[in-house]
Amino acid sequence: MPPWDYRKVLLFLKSKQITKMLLLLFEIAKGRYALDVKQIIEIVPLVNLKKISTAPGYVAGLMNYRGLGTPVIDLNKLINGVPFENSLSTRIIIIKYPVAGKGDMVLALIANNVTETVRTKMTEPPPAGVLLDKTLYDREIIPETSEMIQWFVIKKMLPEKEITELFEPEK
Amino acid sequence: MKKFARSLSVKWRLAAFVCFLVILVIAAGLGGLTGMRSVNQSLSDVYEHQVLPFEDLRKIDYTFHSEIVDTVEKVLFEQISWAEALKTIKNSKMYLDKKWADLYGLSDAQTGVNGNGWLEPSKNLITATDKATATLIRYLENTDVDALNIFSNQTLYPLAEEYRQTINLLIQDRLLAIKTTYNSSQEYYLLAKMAFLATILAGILISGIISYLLIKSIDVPLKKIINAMRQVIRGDLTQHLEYGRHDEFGLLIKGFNQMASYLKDLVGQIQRSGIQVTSSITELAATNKQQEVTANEHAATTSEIAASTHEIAATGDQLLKTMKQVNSLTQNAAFAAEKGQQGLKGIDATMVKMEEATGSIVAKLEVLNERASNIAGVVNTINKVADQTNLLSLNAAIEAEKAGEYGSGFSVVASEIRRLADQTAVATYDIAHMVREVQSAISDAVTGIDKFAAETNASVKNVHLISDNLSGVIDMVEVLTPQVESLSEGIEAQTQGANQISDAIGQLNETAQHTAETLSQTSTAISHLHNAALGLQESTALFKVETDY
Repeated sequence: MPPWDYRKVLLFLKSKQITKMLLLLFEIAKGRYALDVKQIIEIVPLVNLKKISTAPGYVAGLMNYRGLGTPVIDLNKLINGVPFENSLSTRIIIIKYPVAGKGDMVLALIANNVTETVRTKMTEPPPAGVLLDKTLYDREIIPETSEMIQWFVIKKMLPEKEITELFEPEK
Repeated sequence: MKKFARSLSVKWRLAAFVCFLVILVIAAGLGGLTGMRSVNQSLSDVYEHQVLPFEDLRKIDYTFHSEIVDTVEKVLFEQISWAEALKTIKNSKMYLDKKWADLYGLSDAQTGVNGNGWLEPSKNLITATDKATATLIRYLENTDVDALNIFSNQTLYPLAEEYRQTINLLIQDRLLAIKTTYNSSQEYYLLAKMAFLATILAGILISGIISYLLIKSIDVPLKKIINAMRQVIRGDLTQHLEYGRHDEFGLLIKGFNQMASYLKDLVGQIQRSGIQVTSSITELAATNKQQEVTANEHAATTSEIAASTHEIAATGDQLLKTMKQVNSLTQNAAFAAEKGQQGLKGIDATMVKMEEATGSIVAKLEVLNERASNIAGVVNTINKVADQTNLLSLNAAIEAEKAGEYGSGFSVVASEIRRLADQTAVATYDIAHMVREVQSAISDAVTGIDKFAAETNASVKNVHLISDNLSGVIDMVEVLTPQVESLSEGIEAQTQGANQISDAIGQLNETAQHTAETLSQTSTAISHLHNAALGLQESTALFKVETDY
């Protein structure tokens, strides 16, 4: 690993007009996904969750995010049917979830290997919803792995109706 | 003479004979040569004195007729001049004088029967011719034709006739002389032939007689000797030859007689000795047989004794060997036990040291384990810090994105921070893995050393036990050894005695057997000798010797 001189990097980046997307990469049950950073509020470590008995199985519970009770979705459970495994890289992604008539609501997602962001040359989501490492990392450094990465579209990947119900005030 | 011939050796006799033959041949040759010489002499006489005058006489006759008479005729018929005729007649006269003088000279030189005086009839003719020629010359000088004519008719023609007759007479005389010579030589030849034949016959006769005598003088004694030799070959040694001469055969016969006499003495002695030897051998054989029987008995007896003593000795020997073995075994056992005890003591000390060493090793390992645990804790903390850093960088990136163009530089910083955090995490992961391995190795080592220590402990106890047992063994052996030794000495002494007896008897036995064998061999030898003596007797019996004993 050559020693980094980040000032040179900064100069290099400033010389170009940066209009590209920044994506967060993570894994769900060995599958890789990419999420537009603009939809993310923050990433936090795992915390103690309060269980919700009435909620569906993939809802891990409620968490306290800055004094706000926020529902937490276990993506492993939702996609693979198996609950998440606790490790250091298993983290909670806090996102903005737009709900009709209420504006942006805060939603938490549990995913594995939430450790990396990547800047792409893309300016909009790919039409098929799937992109390859090649298109993703079209820059100086090309990673060795070349797998399919699925574009994580919040509205499509999450069951909208049930999640919307979570934000309904309790009757 | 006869005595001289007898005393002459064969060599000289032969030489004399050869000399005689040579002399004979030389005499015959000389006789032949003399005859040849006389023949040759007579032949040359005939040629010189009888044949050569023919020519001269013929020439004289021719000269007289053709020169003198013809010239006178030519002058008379005027064919030539007077001077010319005078010259020719003078020359012819000189020629005739010279020829006649030659012939007379030859006749005077000749000797013998046909020699002197054969020219006597021509003396008158020569005188007449001289006178005639002198007259003729006078007439010619005077050129008196009539006188010449008369002279030629009255004197010259009769003279010419007389001349011819005289010459013919002389030639006939010469022919007669040749015949006489031939006849005399013929007679001489016949005489010589007879003499030669007589000489050859006498030579053959004499040489035949001498040869016969010579052959006889060699052959007779040779036959005598050969006959005597044949007799000797057949075995008759009584031959004795008589011979009076002192030549080579005399020596040979003397030598033969001596040889025969020596041979006779020798064979006689051998025959006598053969009979003596045979009788002695017979006696010897009988004695030897008796001795052999005795020796065999002796050998059998000693053999039995030897076997018995040998058995005793062998038993004693075996016993002794066993005792010695026992002794050496016990001593070996004691020695081994002592050695073992010493070795065990060494082992004991070593083991105690080992126990101490293992204790210290275990203590050190425990310290090491604690350190490893500490490292694991530190690594865990580092890992947590790295995780937090990563999280922080993610959020920083997100915030920077939100800040838009203003946060772009910060987002790069955030991504670099995250990379560092990732590397840290990977490194700490490796360290954690290593530390875990070290810990497991330490725990394995500790377990092993514990086990080893326990085993060592048990061994030490065992060693103590064995050492005690060995002490007991050594004590027992020390008590046993002197007893075994005294026993074994007694047995040894006994065995030695038995062995000595056995050896002595064995030697005796061997000697006896040797004697028996020797006797048997002697017997065989004697029988051989007997056979040989018999053979000798048979062989010598072939010779005939005067029985003077």
